[in-house]
Amino acid sequence: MTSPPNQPKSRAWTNHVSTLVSHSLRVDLSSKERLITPVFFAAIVLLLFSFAIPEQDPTMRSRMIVAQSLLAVFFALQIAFSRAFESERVDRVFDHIRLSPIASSAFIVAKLIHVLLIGAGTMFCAGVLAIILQGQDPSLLMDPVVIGASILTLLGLSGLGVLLAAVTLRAEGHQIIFPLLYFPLSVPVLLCASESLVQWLETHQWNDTMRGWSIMLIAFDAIYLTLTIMLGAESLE
Amino acid sequence: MENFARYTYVTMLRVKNLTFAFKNRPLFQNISFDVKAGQLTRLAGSNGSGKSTLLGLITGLISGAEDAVSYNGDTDFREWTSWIAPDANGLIPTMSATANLSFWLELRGLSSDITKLRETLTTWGLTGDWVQSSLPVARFSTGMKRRLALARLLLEDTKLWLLDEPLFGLDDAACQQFRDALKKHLSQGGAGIVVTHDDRLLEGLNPQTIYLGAQ
Repeated sequence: MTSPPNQPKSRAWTNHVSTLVSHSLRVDLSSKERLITPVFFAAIVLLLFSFAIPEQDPTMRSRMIVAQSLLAVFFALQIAFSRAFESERVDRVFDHIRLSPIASSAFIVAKLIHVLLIGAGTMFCAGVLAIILQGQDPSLLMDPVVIGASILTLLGLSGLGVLLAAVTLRAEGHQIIFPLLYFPLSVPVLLCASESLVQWLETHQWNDTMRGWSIMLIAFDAIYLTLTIMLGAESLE
Repeated sequence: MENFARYTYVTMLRVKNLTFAFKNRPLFQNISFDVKAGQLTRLAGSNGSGKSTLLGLITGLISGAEDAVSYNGDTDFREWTSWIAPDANGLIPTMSATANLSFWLELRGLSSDITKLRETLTTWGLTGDWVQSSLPVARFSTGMKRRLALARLLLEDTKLWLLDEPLFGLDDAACQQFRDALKKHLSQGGAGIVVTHDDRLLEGLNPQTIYLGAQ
């Protein structure tokens, strides 16, 4: 009977987050379906868009690529988020985690990092496919403003996704409740992201309109991430 | 290990005047008992008398007993307690036995040295590289999963074991092995609360018994 090694609380908290993130990634890698499904879903949505809207006005191209990419990622991530706690639902794993000496904030932050990693991979794959299907310049993927806006979008959607997944964890109809909450609450993030990206792709200038939408996007990210860490952790207690 | 003697008979857990009702139906009233180091406590009663519910209240998985249950010590009680569920093992089905053990031990800040894990698994009859490190736990039999959960319990090396039907799915040899492990745990100053209908576990352990559903 030994006691866990004494270590500062912050160090233990960081170790717990790291253990939980690597565990979640190992679970994903052990059944690759969890990694492939969101990417596959995004690819199907993009393909459907490319067949449904074959010819485009060149002036609308920027709007179309932003709209199609964001919608594809939005729907694909909804699948990833709603399954965020799936591996803990089986065999009372979640109850065992609750009875392990870890802070619920460490658990929720680990989930957030995990879905951010999954989301980043999905977003990158969807971006590459969207550029190919839309015949856009591949250098868009390396544009710092596009990358920045994509990261902010992902932060907002991931924060909201993990929060709702945590809140609906024990709800009987979580498959229905999750999208009912996720769709309307993600509108501000999507609106700010699409408007700022379109502004940038059309003008390539950091103007007042773009600055305004970007600040709004950061504000919603901050709101959702704060709610996730505070309310999400609380709901897991 | 050398310090266990001084913990003997120290109260680890106190349940005082615990009353619980499920949907307005009283399940038990004014339950009081202490769990001391070196002592095994058995929760007894017929099916539906509330044994697992009482254990759930003690762990905190079921809310409603916060004022009636107190753990001795200034540290988070989860650091020195382990729990075995009646109907589940808390194992990640897509991962191997060693990966499962590593995960749970790392969450407790304990070493997950692969040699030690393999040795423990071998003592519990889970032998061979394939079974230990390749085969997903989902492919294990019921008894193998329980053996793995009990191997984790021993590796966690905690003072207080909360055991709800720990022998579920085990064969005679594994039952005997776990009884020996429990006996050793108690002799070293550990304590346990057990819910079981299988008297094989309790032979020679002289538990204090708390009867539920008698009123």
